[in-house]
Amino acid sequence: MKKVFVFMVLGFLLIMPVLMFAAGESEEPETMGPVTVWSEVNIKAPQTNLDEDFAKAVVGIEDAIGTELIIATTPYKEISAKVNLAVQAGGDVPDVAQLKVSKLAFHVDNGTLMDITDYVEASPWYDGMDKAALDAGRGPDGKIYAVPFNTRSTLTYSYTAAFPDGPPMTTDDVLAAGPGLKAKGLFTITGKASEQQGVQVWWWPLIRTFGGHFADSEGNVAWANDATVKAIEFTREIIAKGYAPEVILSPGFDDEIPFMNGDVGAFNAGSWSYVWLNPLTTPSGVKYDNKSASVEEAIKAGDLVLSPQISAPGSKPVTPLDGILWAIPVGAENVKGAEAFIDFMMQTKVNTDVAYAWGGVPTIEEGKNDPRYSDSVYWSKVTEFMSDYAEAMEPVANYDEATLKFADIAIDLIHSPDKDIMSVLKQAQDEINAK
Amino acid sequence: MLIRSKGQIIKDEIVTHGLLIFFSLIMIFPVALSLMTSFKTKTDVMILPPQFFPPTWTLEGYRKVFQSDLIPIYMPNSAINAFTATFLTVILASFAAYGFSRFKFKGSRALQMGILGLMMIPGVTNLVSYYKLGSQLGILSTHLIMILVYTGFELPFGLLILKNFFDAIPIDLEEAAKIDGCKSLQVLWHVIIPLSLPGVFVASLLILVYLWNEFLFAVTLLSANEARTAMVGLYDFQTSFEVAYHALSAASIIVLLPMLVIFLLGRKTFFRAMMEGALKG
Amino acid sequence: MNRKIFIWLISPTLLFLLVIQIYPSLYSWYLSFGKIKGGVYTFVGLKNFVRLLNNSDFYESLGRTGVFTIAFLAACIGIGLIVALLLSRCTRFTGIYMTIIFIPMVLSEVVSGTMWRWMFQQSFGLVQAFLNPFINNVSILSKPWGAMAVVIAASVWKQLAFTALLFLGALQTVPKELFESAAIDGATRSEMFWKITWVIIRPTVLLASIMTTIRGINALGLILATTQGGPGASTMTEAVLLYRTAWQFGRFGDAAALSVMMFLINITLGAVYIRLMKDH
Repeated sequence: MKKVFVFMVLGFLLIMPVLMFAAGESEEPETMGPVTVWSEVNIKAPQTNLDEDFAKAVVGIEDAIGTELIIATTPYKEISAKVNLAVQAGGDVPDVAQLKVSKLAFHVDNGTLMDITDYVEASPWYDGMDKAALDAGRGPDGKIYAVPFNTRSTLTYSYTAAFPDGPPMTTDDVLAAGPGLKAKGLFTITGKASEQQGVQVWWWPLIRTFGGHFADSEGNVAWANDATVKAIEFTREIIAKGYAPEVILSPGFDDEIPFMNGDVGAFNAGSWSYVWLNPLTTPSGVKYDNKSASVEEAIKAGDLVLSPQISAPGSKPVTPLDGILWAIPVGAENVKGAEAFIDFMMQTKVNTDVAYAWGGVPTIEEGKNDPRYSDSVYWSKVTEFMSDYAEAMEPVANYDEATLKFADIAIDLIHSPDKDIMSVLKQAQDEINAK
Repeated sequence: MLIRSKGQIIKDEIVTHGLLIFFSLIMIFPVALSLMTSFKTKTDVMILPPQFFPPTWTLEGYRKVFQSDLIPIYMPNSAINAFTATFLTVILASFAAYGFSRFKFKGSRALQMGILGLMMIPGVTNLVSYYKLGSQLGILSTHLIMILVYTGFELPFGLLILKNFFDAIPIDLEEAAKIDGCKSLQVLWHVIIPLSLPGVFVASLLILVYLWNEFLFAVTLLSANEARTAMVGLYDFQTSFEVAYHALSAASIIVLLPMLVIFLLGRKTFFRAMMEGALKG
Repeated sequence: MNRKIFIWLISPTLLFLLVIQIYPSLYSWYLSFGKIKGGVYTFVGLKNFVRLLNNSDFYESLGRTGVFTIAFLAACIGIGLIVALLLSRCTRFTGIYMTIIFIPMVLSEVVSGTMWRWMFQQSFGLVQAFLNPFINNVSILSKPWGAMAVVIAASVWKQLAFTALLFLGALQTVPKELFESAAIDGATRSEMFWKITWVIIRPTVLLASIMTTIRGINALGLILATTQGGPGASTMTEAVLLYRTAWQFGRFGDAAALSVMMFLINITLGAVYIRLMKDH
């Protein structure tokens, strides 16, 4: 036993120098230090298609910007929260952060992003940029707080094996197709109806097409209306009757799996979904296994059909317009480096590669002429739907909280059919707006 | 009732062992499943109906893990943080526990309750404070801040465990040694320390395991890639839309091995100390 | 031991606790009376607390915390006791059983949560697939009660060894002679358990209960790794709510207020337990 004690003391003596050494590593960097980017990609050890495509797109970046590039891989859901914490508590602020358009209001409201209007307007890529897309990076005061590098929206994927007469267009179509598909052992539709993203891609379009709004022009939530009630009733019905798998209410992305396995006829997808949706198996058993090209091949073979987002009967479809941006947080150390990074990323070829990797349309106009977009059956349809039906969601400052709360109560209402929808909506709405 | 027939004894044995085997299987099943998953290919992970054993055995998952920074960077970081903090905690808590055990004064119980009461503060509470303090001192994303925070956090727990063990060492032994002519330091070395080692071992093991597995503080206070710990590094295999289950399982297995090995090596001492020791209230 | 030595012995510990626990907690307390926006703090008095007490989330999470903790406590104590009793009757293989049963404890919450989530995954989960014929293919994790059950099961699975071990130690202190004399007096097995064993191990049960309850109330990592508080809010306990408010929404003032409330709840329960221990 004494030996253990001696061993422990020796161990401690050995560890101390390491400790000293490690603690000393956080000294001030020299002038043009490395550029730190918080993004969800992992280019050192690519794990997914996104990682690989992004890694290919940024080959040569360190030579171009003249300094080291450090990408701190952060889970996509946490980047906003971490940036906010870093700025509010005065901590380790990255030079560049990858954010979503839907969170911009949150960041502007909390004052976490730098006003980069002057930099953007003087940059070499400004003229070639899609100005309408650039607006997605503006705050309510018109100043530019972030640079969008792609725009994304939603649509519906349908297997022709399940819908030989054409894809479902409205909620009534879904309800009508339900019994028949159920008899064949298939669900009718799947999609993500949980968490923040579920609100954007499932609930909001339903609410809009049923004639309502999620929030008002002041940024207060206004979901206590008839349209929302109808949206919830519809979702309740398709789950209760077995037309949609329960997993659409679960966190994560398990809702995609039944579609990938050919157990569902239609999928409420994002323009980015094809990046992740493989291998693909149709209800008739045909298999596509070619990474992100699977969806394109299925469309060309006639097994998969694209249609706009499901809407309420009699209404024009609405699809949420979102996108991903590069932003420079307040307090970033290496602003020059950050700008060099963004300049590199906004070169036409790089912007196109990266926009494509993330499943969206490039924001540099010329990028849209790239064969991957112009020659693609998939993207021609997506851009068509985008220009006809896309609408940005009403900006909500406490986006995460409001959407999470809504998703929670919606799911709760679906599981408890006896609760009165309107009163639950109203109560939650008041609570959120009281903040 | 104490004298049972042979038949009754055999029946008892079967029931007892049967139930214990049942519990053991439940305990080990998730780990076994993870182990199996780590040897599957990416597509085999998702075949239907789900299989326990890999249809094809492969090291693909492990290869992906070895390509990442898990072993060269993240695990050593975890090791440095956990071992140093454990060491510091146990030393300091031992001193304090010995003190509380031997020196009784009026507010002793109250002070102890106060310290233990600190365990009632939810961990997330101090996150912002640590973050702010850390950045002001410029020690965010360093080992120093993790070790300091971990030590401060585990001290009450260490104190609780160690005081229980010290209380179980009869004070008469010390008195007897003093009477025999030992000076205080000798008493310490020859009497106290040997007897306290089981307790120290238990506390060390429990704290070490907890800190190695700690996630919340590590993910908040460490954003730099080089400072990341193993638990946070697991999320490298779980990006937004895809979960590379085979790689994630492989990484999980690798990450739990050090603690498992330490536990297996020290289990006899640990169990003996826990049971003979004083955790009886 | 004299006073001087004692002060030297506890000073380093107290110093650490002051800097690492007390000071940040006080700062947290200070935050609970204000709002932080753009890095600037404004004092709002008790507004955060008022809003918290008017928030349905607070009460619902409280309820869920209650359900979780009570089930967690009952299972850890009950099953732990059973396992300890079984182990104490064993003569062979005890070491092996104890080792295997203790393995979940050395796993991390992240790893455990992932394992359990994987077992109950709707399409590929082995346990889900196994149970499907009996429960009509209902996905357990997507049902509120299902998710809560899985989270409780995972937490108990991880913690069981601790209580079992404590009880085993306590059981070994029960003198065999008591059983012999009771047998002579004609007592039944159940009477022997309740009148002898239970009385002797009761303090340990109480201690185990305190530690398990506090663990249960503050349990966070495992829940986050398994269900992230979902589906919806069905596994959102107070701890998860606190995490979300501080971390995801960045509302540090409200989060601080919530943590003050949680601290008060913890302290109250602690006091109740201590009173129970004193009575015994």
